[in-house]
Amino acid sequence: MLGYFKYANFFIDSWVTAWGAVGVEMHASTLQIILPVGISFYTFQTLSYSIDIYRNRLEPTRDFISFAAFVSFFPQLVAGPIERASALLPQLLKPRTFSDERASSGIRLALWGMFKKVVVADRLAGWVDVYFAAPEELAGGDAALALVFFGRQLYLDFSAYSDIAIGIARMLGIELMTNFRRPYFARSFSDFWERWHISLSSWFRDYVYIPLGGSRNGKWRTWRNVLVVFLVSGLWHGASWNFVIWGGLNGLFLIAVDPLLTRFKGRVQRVVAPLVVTAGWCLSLAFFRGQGWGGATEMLKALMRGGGSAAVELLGTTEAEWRLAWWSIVAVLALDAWGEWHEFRAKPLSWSPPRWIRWAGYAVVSWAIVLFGIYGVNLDDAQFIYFQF
Amino acid sequence: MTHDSPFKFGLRAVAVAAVVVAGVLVSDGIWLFQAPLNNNPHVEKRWEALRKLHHDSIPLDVLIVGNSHSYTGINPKHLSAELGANAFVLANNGTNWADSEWMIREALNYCSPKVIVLETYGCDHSEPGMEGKTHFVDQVRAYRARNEGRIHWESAWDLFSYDELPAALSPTLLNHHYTWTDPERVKSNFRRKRAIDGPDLEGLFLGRFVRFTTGLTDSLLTKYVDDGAPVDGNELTMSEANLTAGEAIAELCTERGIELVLLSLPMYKEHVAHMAEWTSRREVAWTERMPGVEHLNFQELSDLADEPAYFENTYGGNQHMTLTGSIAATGYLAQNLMQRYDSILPSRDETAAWHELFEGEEGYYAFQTPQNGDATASTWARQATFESYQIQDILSFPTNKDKVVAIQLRMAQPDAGEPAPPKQLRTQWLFRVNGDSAVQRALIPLEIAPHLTRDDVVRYRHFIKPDITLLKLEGVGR
Repeated sequence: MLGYFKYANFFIDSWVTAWGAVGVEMHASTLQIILPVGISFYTFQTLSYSIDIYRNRLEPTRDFISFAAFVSFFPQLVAGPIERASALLPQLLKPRTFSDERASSGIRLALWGMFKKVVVADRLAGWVDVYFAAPEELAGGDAALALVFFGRQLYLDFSAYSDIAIGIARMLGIELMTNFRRPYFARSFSDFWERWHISLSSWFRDYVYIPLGGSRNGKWRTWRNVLVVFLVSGLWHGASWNFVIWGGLNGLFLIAVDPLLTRFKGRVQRVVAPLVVTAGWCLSLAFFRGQGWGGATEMLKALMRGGGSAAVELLGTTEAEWRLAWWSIVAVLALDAWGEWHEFRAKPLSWSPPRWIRWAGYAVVSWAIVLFGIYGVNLDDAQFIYFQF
Repeated sequence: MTHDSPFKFGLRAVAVAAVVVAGVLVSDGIWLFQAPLNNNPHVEKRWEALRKLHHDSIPLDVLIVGNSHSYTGINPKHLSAELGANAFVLANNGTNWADSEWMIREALNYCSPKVIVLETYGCDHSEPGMEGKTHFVDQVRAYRARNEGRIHWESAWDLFSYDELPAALSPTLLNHHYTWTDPERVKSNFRRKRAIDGPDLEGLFLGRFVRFTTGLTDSLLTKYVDDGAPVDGNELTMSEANLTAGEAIAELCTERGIELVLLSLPMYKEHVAHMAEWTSRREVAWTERMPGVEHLNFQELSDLADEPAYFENTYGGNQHMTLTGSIAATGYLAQNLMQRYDSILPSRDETAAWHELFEGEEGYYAFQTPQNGDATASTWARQATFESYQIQDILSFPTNKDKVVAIQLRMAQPDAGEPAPPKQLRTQWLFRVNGDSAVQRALIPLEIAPHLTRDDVVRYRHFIKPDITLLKLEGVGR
């Protein structure tokens, strides 16, 4: 089903192009297909259910309503997290009771997701659109900003959706899996993929990488398996060669750069490695976001071109908005750093402020969204990026 | 103590939501995100003026409703002066018939017109719920300028889609982007709080707002020849929502015993291609949906549509009339209304109170004779004969906010077979320049004013500086 809806036209086009490259002109009409929203997500979710039953790791459910709720659970239906039946189905089957603490945590997470999406990600979205519309005209500084901004936008946009989904589910008494765990603090590319879109990475690990042999059969086989996983992961993101290249690049980074990064130790590793990983990831995003091969390579060429940045003028924004965007980015980064620090010290965050402070905080964040958000008829708000997958 | 009660949790959530909503309401209340009114809050001013006329018990006889074409293309003071009745233009920029329907419904709380003139550009213009940003902001402004509770609330659901409603109802949600696009405005709004000036209602305001004083230039006329018309009539389509609103307006007028007439103000003759097809398509639809409602199509009047001086100098899609163009179009509207509705339109110019209201206003002296005790105009001659021509009167009066003094000569149209009136007449005056005691003599030419000339009366005019005091009219010559 996924192959038909998402990849039929891609393979037809590629087939025609491939024959054209060797001088054989072929004519094929592409199919008029409307891609169902979220198809990549619920297909993978139901695939995991079938495979787990096939592997005798899960008992098939006879409760159709619960199964239907598992497939179409509305908070995560269109963009994940991709839940495993073994985690979600039992929660749907058992009676749930209201928990003040859980609901409050859910609201907090959903509000935080809203803030990240409406205030930061959508603000960056407009600027990223400007940058990627004409990469051939960008100076080096602006090209670097374009990739960094898109990296932030993609993270904040997608993690925002996950936060909102997890938060809403939590309010309903359902616990979804964590999908992002501060990926920009990863100390290697393999660490990055254990922090980025965790539900998809772990899906590929369990259903592709390990069945292929994982890391059990020597270095070359391991590299092959890694590359296969990343190429397929790229294709999962979209029916385009750009996504395949993006996936391949990340696989290569993992194979070639990770051994170097593991040589760093201590504080150097904690500071330098995340910067290297972030730089490599942002470079690969030229293919994720660029319009075709040309758009991606133009962006990379612009990066090599040198020159500074005239961002405020180029983006047609105001100094006030420019400062607001940076402060928002820094605020999110600081909170991630705080979480990372607590994890590093193996001290879970235990501070629980009085209830009135918490609720006042919710009001302040809501107000920040009202005042600083990109929404309404005068502004170009953007849909969630992962809705297209 | 545990609080694992969904009810209590819900209450807290509602309380926080209420705090946020209250914040929005306070911000709206102190006009923190109020948009600039461009120093001319004419949209708001029209409603204020309408309410004030109602408060002062001044009745309205003709209500012209539409969008910017109406308030630039019709001069209500001229129309009132020519009809001897009271006319008002109730129009908002960028709005359509759906807006017009609610404007009329609300306006009928403040007036009982005999005739409603519905300008037709709003039928094609746009559709509620499918607006561009500019149109949405215009619609919101038009919506907020009204304030009658029930109609205001009902119309919100009709004019805005559910996701537009919050922004339509709250300036904070609409303009919160000032936080970063124009923080100075937020600061200045905050300092002024509620003290933002309302519309200035000094004098008599009947809804006119003309922005264009010069007509089409030679270069633009050449562009019409070289590039053709900028607007294709075949691409102008009426929306179902607007036609439905048109039906509702027609029904409402029938219920209230009001005569409804459609008016198409012109654009320059070269401005719209496939004009005939466009007109035909509209008339077919109106005949079907609004049977019995007459259509005054001024686009067909070559005296108007062929005159470059009457049109805004633009090659854009939306061309308005100039100040002189509006006076000419107003004359045609007045004549049409007199022909059709003379029996139902009152002759208010038979009362002294009406003359007191309009004395010195735009157009008054073009169509009315100064009353005894008129303190504004000077009458230099009355019922005189020049050659074979019958001069009705020669007046001088300050105009254009006292920036100039008009000298006006009104003359009866010659009978058939008599020579045509001259293009120009010369008048000889004794005058004094203010601050100078010396009396001087001068010949002042008066040019025929086509936009003020009618089938029965020819009008000549000339404007002089206000620091010249006319002392005596010595004669009239060619």
